[in-house]
Amino acid sequence: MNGSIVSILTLLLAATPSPATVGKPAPDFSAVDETGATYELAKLRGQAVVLEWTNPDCPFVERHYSADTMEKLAKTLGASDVVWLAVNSTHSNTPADTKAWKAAQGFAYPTLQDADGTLGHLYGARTTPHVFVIDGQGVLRYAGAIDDDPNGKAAAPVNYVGNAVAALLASGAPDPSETKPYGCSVKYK
Amino acid sequence: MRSTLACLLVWLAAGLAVAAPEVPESAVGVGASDGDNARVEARLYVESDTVQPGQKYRLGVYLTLDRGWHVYWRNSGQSGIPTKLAWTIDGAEVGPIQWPFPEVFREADGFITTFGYAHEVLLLQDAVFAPGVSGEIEARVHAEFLVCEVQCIPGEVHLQRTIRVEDAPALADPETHAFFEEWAARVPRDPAALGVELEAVYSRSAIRPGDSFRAALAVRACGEPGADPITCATLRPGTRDASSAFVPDRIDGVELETTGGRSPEFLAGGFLLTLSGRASADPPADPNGRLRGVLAIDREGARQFVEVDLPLPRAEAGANVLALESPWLEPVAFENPARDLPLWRALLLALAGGLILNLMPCVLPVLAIKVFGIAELAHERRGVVIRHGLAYLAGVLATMLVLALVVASLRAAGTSVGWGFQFQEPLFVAAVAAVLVVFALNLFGVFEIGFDATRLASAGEGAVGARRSFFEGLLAVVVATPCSAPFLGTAVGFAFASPWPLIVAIFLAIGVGLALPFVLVTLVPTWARFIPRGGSWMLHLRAGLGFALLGTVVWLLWIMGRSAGSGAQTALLAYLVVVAAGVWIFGALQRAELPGVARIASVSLALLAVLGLSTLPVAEERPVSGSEHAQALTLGRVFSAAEVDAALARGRPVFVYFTADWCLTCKVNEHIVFEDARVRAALDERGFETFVGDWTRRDEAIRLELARFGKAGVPLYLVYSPNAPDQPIVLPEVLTVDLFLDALAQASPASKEDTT
Repeated sequence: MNGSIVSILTLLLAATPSPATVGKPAPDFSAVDETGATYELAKLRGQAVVLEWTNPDCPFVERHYSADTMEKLAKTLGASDVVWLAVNSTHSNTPADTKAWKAAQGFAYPTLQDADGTLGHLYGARTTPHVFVIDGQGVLRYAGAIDDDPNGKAAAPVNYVGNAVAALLASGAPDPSETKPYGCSVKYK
Repeated sequence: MRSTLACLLVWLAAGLAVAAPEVPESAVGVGASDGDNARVEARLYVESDTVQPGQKYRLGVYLTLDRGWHVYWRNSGQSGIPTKLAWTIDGAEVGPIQWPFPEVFREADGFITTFGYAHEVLLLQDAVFAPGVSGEIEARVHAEFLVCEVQCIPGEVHLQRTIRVEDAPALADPETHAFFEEWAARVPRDPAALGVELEAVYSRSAIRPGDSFRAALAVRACGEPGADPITCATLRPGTRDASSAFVPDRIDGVELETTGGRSPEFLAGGFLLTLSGRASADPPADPNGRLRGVLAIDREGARQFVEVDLPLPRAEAGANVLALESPWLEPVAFENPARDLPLWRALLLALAGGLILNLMPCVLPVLAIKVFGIAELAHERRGVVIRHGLAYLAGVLATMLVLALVVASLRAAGTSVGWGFQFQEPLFVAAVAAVLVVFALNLFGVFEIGFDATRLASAGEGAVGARRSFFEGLLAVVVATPCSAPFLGTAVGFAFASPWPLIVAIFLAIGVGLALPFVLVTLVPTWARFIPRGGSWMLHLRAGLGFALLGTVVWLLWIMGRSAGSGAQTALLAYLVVVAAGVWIFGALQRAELPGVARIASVSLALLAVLGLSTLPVAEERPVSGSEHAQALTLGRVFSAAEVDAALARGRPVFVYFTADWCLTCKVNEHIVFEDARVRAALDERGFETFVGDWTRRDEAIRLELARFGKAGVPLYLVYSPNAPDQPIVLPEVLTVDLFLDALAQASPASKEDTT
C-alpha cells in the first residue's frame, strides 16, 4: 500500500535529527570558539542564548559591525545574563581569521568555529547575518533577521533580536518569532 | 564592467537576437564596485523619447552583470535581497515591475536556494502621464540591488533621461520596441490569457502556523470549457530542470520547495509538480492565504510563463484541520535515467562497455603489449598460457575492486567523485607516468621482471612470469579509466548512484569485459598456429611497443602541464629521468648476476621512487583559473547552468559538452568532430551557443550535472533545442560528424523551414 509506504517514510524522517524549528527544542551542539574553549548548549540551560551567524567578508555583516549593532546589543543583553555566541560557518575561516576580526572590531563574545558547516546545517543558517534566539529551557524562540532594515537605510530600524530577547526576559513570547533573514548566503564548503 | 570590449565580445558570442540599443550618457551607470571593477552596469530605457499624456508607456532598467554574478528576483529565496527600483517622474504614475521568469540558483549542494538573474535582465514598468502634463520631464530612477557570485556586493545606481510629453501620438523607437518585446515575452502572464488551468491540492485542509505540509500543483491546457471533443495540449515543465519550473513568491511566512514532477495520465497531457512546505510559527497577516509564484511551461515546443495565484487555506494555531491524502501528493522524484535501470541490464552494459573499452584510445598501448604477450606465449604449453590469462584477469579484477572500494569509501567520507577521478589528482598522474617509464625500459630490455638470472639468456623468446600478466592487468585498468565508452557511461552512472555493493559489482563486470578478449584467446588452443616462431623480430617489436608507452607518457606530461603548470611538468620530467636511472642501475646489477644485491637494490630504489613522488611539487600549484583554462579550449564558453538557461530562454539552441584533458575519448572527438569545418559552419549558421564544462580538475557543479544525466564521467554531449529545454538530445560517447550534424539540425528551431 502506498499509504503505508508514506507513513514508514514519515517515521524514518522523524528519526533523523530534525532541523531547528521555532517553538521546538533547539538542536543540541558542542562547538569550540577561536580560543579552543568548548560551548555546549545543554550546559547553558537557565540562560537565554543568541546564535549569530557571521562572516567578516560579507558586506551586510561589515555594515552592522561598523554600526556596532551586534556589539552594543550583546553588551546590553550580557548584563541580563544572556549568552551571545557568534558562529562562522565560512569554509575558509580559521581561528586566526576570527582573532584578527575580533581585534579589529573590539567585541568580546566568542565566535564558534564551524568551517565544516555542521552547526550551520543543524540550525538551517542560510545567510550572514542569520540569528537564532534560544530560551533558558533550550527551546528555539526566534529565527531570522537581526532587524527589519536589509538595505541599511531606515532611520530607526526595529531590532527583532533585541525585542525577542526582551520578550523572553519579560516571560513573554517573541513577536515576530520568525522573519526572513537577509544578507549574503553562508559560504559553506 | 571590466571593459566595454569584453562586454561586446560576450554579446557577440551570445549572439543576442536583439542587441541592447544605445542610450544617452545620463542613462548609463555602474554599481557594486569590486576593487576597480564594477560588477553591474545599468541602463535606463524608454519606449520613445516623446509621449502622449494618458497613454501607456514603458520604461525599462537593463542590468548587465559580470560573468558568474547574479542579482535577485522579487523573492530572493533563502538569501539575497530583491532588486528595487524607485522612480521619480513628475506627473506620471509608474506601475509595478514586470519581472521576467527568474532562474533558480542552488548553493552548498542545494542547502541554499535563491532566485534571480545572471548575465543580464531587463525590468520593465508601465507609466502613464496625467492629462495636462506637458513639456520636458526628467525621468529618474534609483536602482538598488545585491549582486552575488561567491561574495555579495550591495550596489546602487542613479539614472535619468529626459522625456518630452506632448499631446500628439508618440511613435515608439523600433529598436527599443523590439528589445522590450523580447523581454516582455518572458514576463509571466495570467493563465486564463494563455488557456492554462492551474489547480493546487494540499495535504491538510488548512495550514496552521508551524505546520509542515505537502502540496501538488497541477497544470493543464484543455481549451474552452465545455468544448466537445475536449482536446488537451501536451505540456512539460519549461525549464531544463523540472524542479526550477515553479518559482514561489514569498508567501506570508511559508517556505516552499519543489520536490518532484510527473505527467500522470489523469491529467491528459498536463503535468504535476509536487511541493513541500512549512509555515512559520507566527500567525499569518492575512488569514486567506494565497499560493503565489511563477511557472514555466513547455507547450508543444513553445515556452510560456504564467503567474500562479491559487488559494492556500490557512488556520489559527491549534485549530482542528483534516489530513488529506490524494494520489496527486505522492512525492515522486524526477526521473533519473540511470537509476531506473534494472540491475541485470546495468551489469550487461558494464560487461559490454568493458569489452568495447579495449578499442578505445587510452587502452591501446597496453593492449599492444598484451598482443605482444600473446605472441610470446604462442608456443608455450597450454597450462602456462591459461595461467597467464587468469593472472591478467586477476590483475584487472583486483585493480577494479580497489578502485570500487576507494570510490565507495570516499563517498562514505562525504566526497563524491566520478569515473576517472584519479586523473584529477596530479600525484596519481605522476605515478602512472613513472610506472609506464619503468615498463617501457623493461620492454627495451634494460631489466627483467623477476629475479631468475638464468632466464635472461632467453629474454624475448621464453616465458615471462605470470606476475607480469597480473601487472599488465593492473596497468590496463589504470590507463583505461579516463576513457568512457559506449554503454560504459550508463553502467558507471548507475554504479555511482547505487550503494557500495553495486559499485563493486558493476566495476567487476567492467573488469571482466575488459579482460575477456585476452582470456578467450588463451583458452583457444588453435590460435598459436598463426604466429610465427620467436626470433629477433620479437625483440624489435618489443622495443617498438616500449616507444608506444613513452608516447603515453608524453600525454600524461601534457595533462600535468595543463592541470598543475609548467613547473610541475618539469619536476615530473626530472623525476622520470631519476626513475629511469634507478631502473638502469637495477638492470646492471641484474646482468652482473648478483641477485641478492639486485633484490636489495630493487627494494631501496622503489622506496626512493615513492619518496621522490611524494615530494613532487604538483599538488599545491593552481596556476590557471577555470575561465583562463577555458580560453585555451577550442570551442565554447565556460559552462554555467544559469547561462544555458538564459540562452535557451532567448530562443537559442545550445550545445553543451563536458570534457577533461585526461579523457582521450573526449580529445579524439573534439579533434575529429568539433574541428570539422562543416560542424563549425553548422554551429554558426544555426545560431548555437556552445558551453564547455572542463572536468580536468574536480568540480562539484559539473559532477552534479553529469549525475543528472545518469553519468559519472566524461564525455557527455548535450544538444538542447529552445523548444524542449528539459529534453536535450544526449549524444553517444563516440561521435561522428554526421551524427553530430543530424543532432544540430534536429535541435535548431530553423530546421522546420529548412525542409521547405
